[in-house]
Amino acid sequence: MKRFATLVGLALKSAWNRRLTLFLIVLSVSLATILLVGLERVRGQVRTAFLQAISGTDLVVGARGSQIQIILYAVFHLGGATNNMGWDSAQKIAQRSEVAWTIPISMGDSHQGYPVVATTQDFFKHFRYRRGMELKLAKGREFGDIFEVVLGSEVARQLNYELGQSLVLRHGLGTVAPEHSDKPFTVVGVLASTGSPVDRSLYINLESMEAIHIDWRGGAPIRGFTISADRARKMNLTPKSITALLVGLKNRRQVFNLQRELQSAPGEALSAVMPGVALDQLWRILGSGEKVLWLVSILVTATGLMGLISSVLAGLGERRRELAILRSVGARPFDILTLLSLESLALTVAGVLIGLSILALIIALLGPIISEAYGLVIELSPPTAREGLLSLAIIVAGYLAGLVPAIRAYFLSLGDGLSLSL
Amino acid sequence: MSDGHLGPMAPKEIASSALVKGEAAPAVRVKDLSFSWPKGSFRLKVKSFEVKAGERVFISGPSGCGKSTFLSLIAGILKPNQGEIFIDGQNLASKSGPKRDKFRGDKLGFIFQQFNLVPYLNILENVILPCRFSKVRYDSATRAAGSPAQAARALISRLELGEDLLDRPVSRLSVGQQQRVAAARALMGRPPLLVADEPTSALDADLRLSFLRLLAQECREAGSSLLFVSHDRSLAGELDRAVDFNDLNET
Repeated sequence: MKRFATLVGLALKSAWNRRLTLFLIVLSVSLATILLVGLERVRGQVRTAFLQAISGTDLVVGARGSQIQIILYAVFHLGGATNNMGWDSAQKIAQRSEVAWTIPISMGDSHQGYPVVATTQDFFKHFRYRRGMELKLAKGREFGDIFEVVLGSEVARQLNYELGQSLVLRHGLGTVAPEHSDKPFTVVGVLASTGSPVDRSLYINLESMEAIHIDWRGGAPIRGFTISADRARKMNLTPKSITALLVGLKNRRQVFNLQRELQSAPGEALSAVMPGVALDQLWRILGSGEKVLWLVSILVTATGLMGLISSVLAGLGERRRELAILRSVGARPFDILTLLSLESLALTVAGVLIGLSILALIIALLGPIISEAYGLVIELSPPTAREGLLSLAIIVAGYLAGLVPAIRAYFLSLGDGLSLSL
Repeated sequence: MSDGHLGPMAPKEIASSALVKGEAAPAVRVKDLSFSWPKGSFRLKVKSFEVKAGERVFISGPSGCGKSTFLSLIAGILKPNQGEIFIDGQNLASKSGPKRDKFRGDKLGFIFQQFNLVPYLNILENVILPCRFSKVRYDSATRAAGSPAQAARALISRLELGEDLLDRPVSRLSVGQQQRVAAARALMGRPPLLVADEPTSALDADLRLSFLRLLAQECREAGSSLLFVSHDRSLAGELDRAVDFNDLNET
């Protein structure tokens, strides 16, 4: 024990004595740590944001189709549904005894590239994201009347819209489709930032959606036939169909039963998707990009450790004398091995600690900016288990890398003995 | 000035302590030693060589005659092909590698030709170093002076190194000072045997004699035997006995 303490002391003093040379090694280990742990932090947050884009919703129901497609348009508001589901089907589901609430969603229009979601006030009441977080209004109020629109936080920020702003929706998702310019909307509210797809959409009620399409057929205005906004107001605006229905149950255990019943029920062909399961599947597809990033950061780490090996190896020549002195006072060749590997260990630990500190600083400084710009919440927090494990892995790898020069020193000191060949 | 220290009183002490020990084991006893490098043609053969306890022996010989190999064998770094090497009564040749390393730490002090000091340790830490690897030396220094640090301080001042040098990085010492620090380290914990391999050859001529006298005197003071190797025969008369290595090696 005492001998080990001696070796630790010698290793630290020796490293400190060559601190200028070793500084670069420590720096490269720090960079590798920042990259690896930082990537893990971002990956974890992206994954969380993705998998928790929707929460509390037990089933997403849409016209018969692929699970992933339903999730893409109902949760991420991406792309359009190829088929709609009937309003009467939605009503029937909403009236079932095991259903606590439903949120109907109707899509297909856009504004400046941002999707427009037509829904009801139940959306504000029941929609949850990230472990049961509720939607909050940053400004204004929920939509009430038709031709009123509530903006997601990112839409408001990017387009620089304030309450009272008048805007026109475009039919479809492109930028060349015709606009509903005869029926402008007024911004009445802006949602608080959620870090979820909610931020990137505009919200109107189902009747508004119906109203702007009342004089349209087959995706285009009917030539020579227009119904003014005021006249549309007075007409029956109950939708005939919607894109999807988010369903919350009174008792979550009934989800499998209900899913089976909905999918096999006679009448309209429906698909009912459990969002958690589908999001997992989707992440497995999308997440493959992260593997490339992983590979790159592992290569950077390996490069850093190669630098460690080569620097310590290069310094060995000058240290043969020092090692011979230690041998002369009773150090075993194994002590020399320990001394050298402890040095690499000290360098790696220093590098990892410095790297983690710099990363914390980066997160503290840039976190709010990233959160503001990308809706990705990256907060200063103690390292997660995975991050801790990752840091440990770097240290272990550094120690193993340090064994290369240490073993070389072992054999050198076996051969050199006390002869200081000058 | 060092002549004053080599007064006639000191030998009496040695003589009496040798008497007290009675049949004290010789510091070094080599019998029928033979060694050859695995690939090389070089061979070493020493029939018999002995250094009595407390005896200070001068070994001379040209460079490349095998002195360093001989010292490596005595230090237990190399293992002989045949023969026995008793150091302080124990046969090194029969010990395993790690045991020889421990034995070396316990029983031997070394002074090399040059660059004797660990660059990242200060003078005090360099002198204490043997006590860090050997409990025997640690205990011995503690018995003698209360603590290894105290023992080191005492040795440093006896070797005419000022107190003000204690914390100085060893790289800022003159070669003469470095060799004296090395001597202090070798003497730490009063090992039975000091081995000095050409310790004066890096020194200016006028410093060699005073260094040797100081070293010899301190060895006597510590009761350690001294094996002083040098090609400079002019120093040979300063110690108890002088041996020509060519007479030892029978190949």
